Amino acid sequence: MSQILTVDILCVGGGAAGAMAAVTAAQAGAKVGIMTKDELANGNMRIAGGIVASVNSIDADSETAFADDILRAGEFLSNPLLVKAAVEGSRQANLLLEEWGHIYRRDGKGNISPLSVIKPGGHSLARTLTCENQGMSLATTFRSAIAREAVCCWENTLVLDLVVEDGKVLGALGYNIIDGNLLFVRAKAVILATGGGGMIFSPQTDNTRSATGDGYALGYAAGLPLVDMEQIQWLPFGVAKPASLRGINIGDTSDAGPRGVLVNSEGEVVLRGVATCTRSAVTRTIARENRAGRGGPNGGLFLDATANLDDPVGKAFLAQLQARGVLGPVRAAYGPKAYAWTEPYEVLPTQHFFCGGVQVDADGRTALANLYAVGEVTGGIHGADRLGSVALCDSIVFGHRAAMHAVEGFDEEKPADDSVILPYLDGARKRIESVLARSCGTLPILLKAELGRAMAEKVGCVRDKAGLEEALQMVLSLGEKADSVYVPAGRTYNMALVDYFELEYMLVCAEAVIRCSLAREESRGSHFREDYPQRDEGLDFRSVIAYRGANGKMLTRLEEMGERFVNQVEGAKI
Amino acid sequence: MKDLLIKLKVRRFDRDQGYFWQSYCVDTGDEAATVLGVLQKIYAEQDPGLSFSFGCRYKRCGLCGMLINGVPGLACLVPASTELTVEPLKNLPVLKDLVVDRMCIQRLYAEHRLYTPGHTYTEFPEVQVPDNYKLLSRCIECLCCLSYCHQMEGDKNFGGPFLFVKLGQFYNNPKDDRLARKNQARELGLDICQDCRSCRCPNGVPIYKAAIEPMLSSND
Repeated sequence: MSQILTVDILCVGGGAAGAMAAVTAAQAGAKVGIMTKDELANGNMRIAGGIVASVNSIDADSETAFADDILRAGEFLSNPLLVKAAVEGSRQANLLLEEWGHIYRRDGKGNISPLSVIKPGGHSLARTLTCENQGMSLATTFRSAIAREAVCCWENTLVLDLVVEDGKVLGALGYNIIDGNLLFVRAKAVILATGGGGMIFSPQTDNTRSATGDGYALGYAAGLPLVDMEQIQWLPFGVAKPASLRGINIGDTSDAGPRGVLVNSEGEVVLRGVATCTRSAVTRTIARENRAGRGGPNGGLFLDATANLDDPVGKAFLAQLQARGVLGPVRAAYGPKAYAWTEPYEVLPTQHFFCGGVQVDADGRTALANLYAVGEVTGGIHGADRLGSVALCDSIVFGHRAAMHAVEGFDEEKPADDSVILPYLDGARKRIESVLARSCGTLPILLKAELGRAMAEKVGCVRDKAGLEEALQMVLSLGEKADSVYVPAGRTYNMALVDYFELEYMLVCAEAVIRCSLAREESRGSHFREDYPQRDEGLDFRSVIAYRGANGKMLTRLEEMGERFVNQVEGAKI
Repeated sequence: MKDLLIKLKVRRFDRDQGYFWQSYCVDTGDEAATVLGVLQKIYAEQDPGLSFSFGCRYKRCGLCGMLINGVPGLACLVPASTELTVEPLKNLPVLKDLVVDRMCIQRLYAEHRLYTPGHTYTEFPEVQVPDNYKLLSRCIECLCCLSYCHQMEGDKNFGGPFLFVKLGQFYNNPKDDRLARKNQARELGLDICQDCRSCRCPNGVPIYKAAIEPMLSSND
């Protein structure tokens, strides 16, 4: 069974960026729909710390100071136009959330003040707002606002296709995971907000299971350039084992305590003063020791924080960490002694965030008419590395901006005729039927696992040409195997069919990450090449673009930052 | 090495066969494996037709709530024991195996107007946030609390613990109308909760103390 429905504006993805766009557009008078594979307001917003940067939270702050921080963290790879828009819009977007009922943490007197804001690493001053129960209270705010604005919602609906005719997007085709039906939503504008692709490193990621890079693959297939896909942020400490908890985040570098050290499998201390090291210094040490064969049994190193207990400051720090719940997964994975820091435990870098993605301008516009992209699926603002608390800021600012822009222009658009859409529905139905008709083959989940292992090993936080080329061959051969996977029949909540669709997206996403990593022959930000360990200044403000070549193969090129978009916003500069 | 063989019984459901029990035997190879880890291994290695939902793998997304040895809990947080029984949550429509219809959450937001009245701010307003607001913010919408409720099964008009927690969030939100939320909760049968106190939260929301009791009291 399939259905064709019509809205003015369709948001694909219901996380922070998609929800922000949907509510904004609805408030501006548009008929809005959200198609989301997850539930509403789920996704990586739920694993986020619920910290959101907001300019001028304190008097000493300024737009210039905030922009400088983002540009510095991004190591000359952020698009200044996007940075400018994010900074300028941050306060207004956060105020909007408060208008919708959200309450950021206040000081004792009930105000946002220097006492209520925090300063995550890399910010020059405190400007970051925090939430009760991390990302969860933002999620409830979005659910509330979606309900109040009566946005149409199609939850548990995986987007299969963005339908493009004559360079214009006509809508999106979705597969309802719960009943197996197809849905086409035509729209005058589509806002892509599908989030990141951490699952290509699964289980070595702290991302939620739905982060399978759907939007990168859809954008790429529609002919959009992907920018700087090699820039992938890793957090220093993830759980190493058991498999079911591998990759779960157990703290930042500072959470090693003042006396924490990293120890290799030979009992040698390889990094002292862990707490004051950058994330990349720690993740690279762990990766390099493993490449040299001195890693822990599960690919990590041992965090020995026991010396903290000899020191009153260290002890107090541990109590604080436990109270914040940071070490909860340590207890679940390694037991009470590790939780009490009386014995070392294995930690490994865990993938956290895609800095790169679909290329957009400061209004979230892509190179295709009527198609916008917002949030983690986009690239450009964070450059080579992202500051803490700017991901949610990015999502809400650009969700808002894209929706405002889309609402302005949609009136003259006519919805597509059924006759244009029906062949797409028919194609999707046939594709599903042919997958379900096979009686043997490999399960998609096993290919996903193979992909995750290879990517974490060869395309992790330390890379080189040989490893990247091996990974590329692996991805291409998995692509061939993906054409003949086995999916058991069944229309209701068929997880294997979902895995099959996602695997296809993940393979495109992984290929883009590898090709961009090969093309960037230097080390910058989150991207470290053992064979090119230095930053090449000649590559400042030069993005690596992955795009679909005329022969259907993925190609890369270097592009001067923002050259295609700079002229569109008059007089904008930082 | 310790024997890590786990016997798992699943109460399954599909539209054609209805409810039925199925047993699996799985070696997780790891003492610290979670119930979710066991289900993932069975799905990958033995039964790709088994359905369950999950997301973050540790305590955040609320998607993997189920009955584990009879007790509602998050599969990602409960360590696997050698004998396990898992069933879908109670008082929710079952869609397939362990997957329940969670789309009711958004319907409740709309139906019970779980949103604050509109405000316009040019500055962050001064607000005093009650402690109960903070406690109730721990709700991750896993819906485990519903499985404890004795009243919901036979009484379609009864709000139930999840909705009372939500109403409690608004009751404690200085931007909302306290009295209206309290009346709403009472119209949905809150008074029945007076002598019950059966419901629990795997994430530590004190449902009775922070949501139900304050809205039952006459001080407002």
